[in-house]
Amino acid sequence: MSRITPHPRRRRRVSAAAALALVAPLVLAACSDDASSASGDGSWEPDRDIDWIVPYSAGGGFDTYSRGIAEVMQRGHLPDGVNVVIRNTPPLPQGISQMFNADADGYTIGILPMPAAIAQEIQEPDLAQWKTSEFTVLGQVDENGYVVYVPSDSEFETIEDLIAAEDIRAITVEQGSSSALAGLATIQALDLDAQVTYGAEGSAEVVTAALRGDADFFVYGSTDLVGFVESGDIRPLMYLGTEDQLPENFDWLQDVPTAEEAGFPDLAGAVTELRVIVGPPDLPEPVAEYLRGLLADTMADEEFITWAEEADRPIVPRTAEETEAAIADQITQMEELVPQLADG
Amino acid sequence: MDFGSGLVQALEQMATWSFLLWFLIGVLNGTIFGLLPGLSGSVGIALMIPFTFDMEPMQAMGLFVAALAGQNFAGSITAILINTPGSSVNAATTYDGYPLSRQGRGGFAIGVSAMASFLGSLIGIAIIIALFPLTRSILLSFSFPELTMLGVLGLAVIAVASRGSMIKGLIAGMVGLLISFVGFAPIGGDVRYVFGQGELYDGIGAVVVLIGLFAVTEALSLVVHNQKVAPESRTGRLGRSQVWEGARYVFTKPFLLLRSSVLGTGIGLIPAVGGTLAAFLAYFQAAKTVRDPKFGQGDPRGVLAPEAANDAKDAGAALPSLAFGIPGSADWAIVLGAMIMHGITPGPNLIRDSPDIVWMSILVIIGASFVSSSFGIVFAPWLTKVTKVRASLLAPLIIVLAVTGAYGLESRTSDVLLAIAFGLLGYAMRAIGMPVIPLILGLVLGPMVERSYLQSVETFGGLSAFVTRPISLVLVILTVAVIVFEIISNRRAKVSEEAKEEGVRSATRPRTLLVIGGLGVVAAGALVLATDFREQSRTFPLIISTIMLALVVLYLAVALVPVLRRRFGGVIADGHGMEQMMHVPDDLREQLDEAGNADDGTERGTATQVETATKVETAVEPAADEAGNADLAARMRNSIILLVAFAAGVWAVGLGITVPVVLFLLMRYVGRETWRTTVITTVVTSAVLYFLFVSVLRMPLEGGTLLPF
Repeated sequence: MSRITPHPRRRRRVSAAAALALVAPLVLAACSDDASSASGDGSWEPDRDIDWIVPYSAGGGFDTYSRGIAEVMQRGHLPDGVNVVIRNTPPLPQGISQMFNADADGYTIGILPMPAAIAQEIQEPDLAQWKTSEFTVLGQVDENGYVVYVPSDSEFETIEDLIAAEDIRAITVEQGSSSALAGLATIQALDLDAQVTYGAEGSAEVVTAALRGDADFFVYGSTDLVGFVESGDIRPLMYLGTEDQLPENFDWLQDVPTAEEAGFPDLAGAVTELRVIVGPPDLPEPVAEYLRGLLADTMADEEFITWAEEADRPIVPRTAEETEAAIADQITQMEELVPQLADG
Repeated sequence: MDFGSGLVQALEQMATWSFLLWFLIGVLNGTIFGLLPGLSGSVGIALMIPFTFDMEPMQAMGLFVAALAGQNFAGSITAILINTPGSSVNAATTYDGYPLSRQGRGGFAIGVSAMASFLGSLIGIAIIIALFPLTRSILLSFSFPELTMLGVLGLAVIAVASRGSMIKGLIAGMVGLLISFVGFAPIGGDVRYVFGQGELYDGIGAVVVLIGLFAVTEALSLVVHNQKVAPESRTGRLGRSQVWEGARYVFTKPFLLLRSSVLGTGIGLIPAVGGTLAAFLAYFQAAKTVRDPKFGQGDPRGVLAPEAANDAKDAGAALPSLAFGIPGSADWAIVLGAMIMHGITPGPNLIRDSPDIVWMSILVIIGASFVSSSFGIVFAPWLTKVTKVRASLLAPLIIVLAVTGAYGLESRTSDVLLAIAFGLLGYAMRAIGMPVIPLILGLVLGPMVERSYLQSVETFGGLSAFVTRPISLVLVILTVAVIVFEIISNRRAKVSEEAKEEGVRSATRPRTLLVIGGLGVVAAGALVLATDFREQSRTFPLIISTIMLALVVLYLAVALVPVLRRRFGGVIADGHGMEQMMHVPDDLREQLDEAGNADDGTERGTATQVETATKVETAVEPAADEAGNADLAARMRNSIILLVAFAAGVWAVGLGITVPVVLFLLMRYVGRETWRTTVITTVVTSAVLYFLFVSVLRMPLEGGTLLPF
């Protein structure tokens, strides 16, 4: 990868001000490629790095997917010298606000967690400086149905055992996250007698808390804990997604009853985590068109598909239109569900 | 592949030129980023990720783990030489490392640190290999109550850390805790103390605070007094033999080394606790258990213990990180992310599926720590030259480098403003003899204690779990013991009536009362704001701001009410203790150094110096001549004005313009350098910084509010 890459216009003034005789050749090279990229036929192409906002810290699921896509994207699908720069901007409301309020020029995009974004918008109107429905949707990377897990040595063999139990405990990550929401929706739908502890930092902490015996069950994504299921540390009791959200290559999940089979059709698919790629509202059409194509091409790239398989990260790409429809559905669902959860 | 044959496989894959090359690049990266204040090792690791995509997973992992293990020791070099820890794990090293530097023994301290770091990680690795079968049960025996109590024990150390000025130390610790509350509450969902500033939502990072409190404060103090770190006359032995003397010194203290390393490894095994606590606990176990301690005044054991512990901690942290996928630290979090990128999933299957990766990590930790320590020993004689650079050159460079480093973290202008603000706060604290280390401990441990406490209450339905669980109970007893021991030994300490009176006098100077009163206002404000938070978010801010307010009121009452002052003056009196060298007014330091110079030897000189310290303390201020004082005041005024201008400039027109201008003014009008030197240094430094940050690290330079670009 070339080190001397086209820099944005704004760098020029800095270099002039600093009057750096020593590095003048370098600075000149750095600023040489400065031409505007909008060509005559109305199409658009980036001429500098694209910032990709991840509203979580480095290392989690959203971060992993983002880095995987960014790498393949900048290697084979972007003009030479244009890179995708991952920016981790936790906490969630801050990160999503940044995505929403960025300049609509195509140089800032991000990965949006659904339904967390809409749930936060409803629950915390003061913090949520965004309208989920107004983002420019570029596509979807993955769909992550939730699963109710218990530690392997748990006395609960079936979901019915869990329903019959009294005074049980659950553990989850921060309030307002999609996982926490899925947990609450489950407790409410199944009418569990459960107490929730919040604040775990990431999937591994949730699992270890359960293994320690600090929680009797937990609700987490189907794609995040494959390793712990395969190692025999935890086992799934119920799948909260719909039939067609069930990843085919997850053998361990095939015999697990779905919410629908267990008699809770309303819960099925009510909270499924979508990893959506968006830009700020009102992205100009040529820009949005370019980015949508770019994303679709990248996710269809053999290299990306191989990476996803190796990293145990299933991908469920969807077009922008399909994604928009899915987001609209979740918004309607959440507008109904979230106030109920708040009351319960 | 079973676990044993994984070792053979790992060795086969590692014994290639390309692996060794990547390994060396990793160590260099860790060392350089660890050395630069502000740019922590994790930034370096993150920057390397894009270049590894084509590499074999094994080699990429070698690169990352080498960078991770190489940085700890590097951070101690700046802690020793310029009182600026590379990251918070090296903060405890400043206690004795910097006094050693001031005595012209910086090379010796680096030697101690290098050898202790290497042996620490070696011992740590030996322990985790031995403990392998028990990993799981160790990991699973630390639940929320145990984590809470570990943090509380760390906070109790604050009381010990600030011996001699305990109330001030406690207040500083509370300030650190209050700062840790800024941003999102770990549980409860509130956003606290952000005053509408989006940049504060994610809290105030420890690195920014470190840069301000240590680098900026130290540089200010150097330039105002126009001192070198180490005075010229005191050359002592030649650089290299001094470094070897330090390295050999470690072998004379095998039990301290072993204790500190075991402690460090143990802390590392417990996920999420972190190296800062390991280093401090090691420092204070050393201070409490060795014979004839001179801690805080340049005792090499005070460098040995924390450095051995924080490197051992990295070895310990490898286990939960690799075997459970729970990052032991921010650096491990990034390495784990990078592993996933390369198709390696850390977690329960890793040891079974790819034991070669686990073995490779273990070997690389030892190797990287050996290589980075060797760098230290080889380059120490040159590095220590920095302590002989005159302050008028060194200090402006430290300030500019540190502040640019703060920007480099996240490319945020707000971090620059915060670093400068903390620099001024640190300067005010130092001026009144308030220790800064407790503030760092409070800041680093605050989130862990708050989160685990709330999780304990939620999970176990109350406070009983703290005393019914065996490990937690032991930690509770240990915490109480530390506090009780400290109170008793303070009472027993023989302080002459004269020294006590002097202590009370210096503790009740108007500027001291002003700063303490100001902090009281902050505490009161925090208390009022906290009443609006939701239930769980409110618990800790309410408790901490109330305690802080009470401490301030107590201090002011004793200081201002004559009856109380006569009766309880000893409670607030400044005394001699752990951190004395750090607080002694700087003009006093010069005399201290001279007192030391007059002495012949090295170690014996240190001891004498310490004894003179208390005597000199009483006599110094009136002794300084008036012209000198006026000059000092002018320098101080100029430098503070310039720092404020720095902040304003960064806010208004951005870093790109402000850095050269302020650097120029600092050197010319505070350092009083010649025009020629000033111009040349400014141009060269700006060019190097621009090259490093913009051309190499590709950080976007943001304009300011008035001059956006």
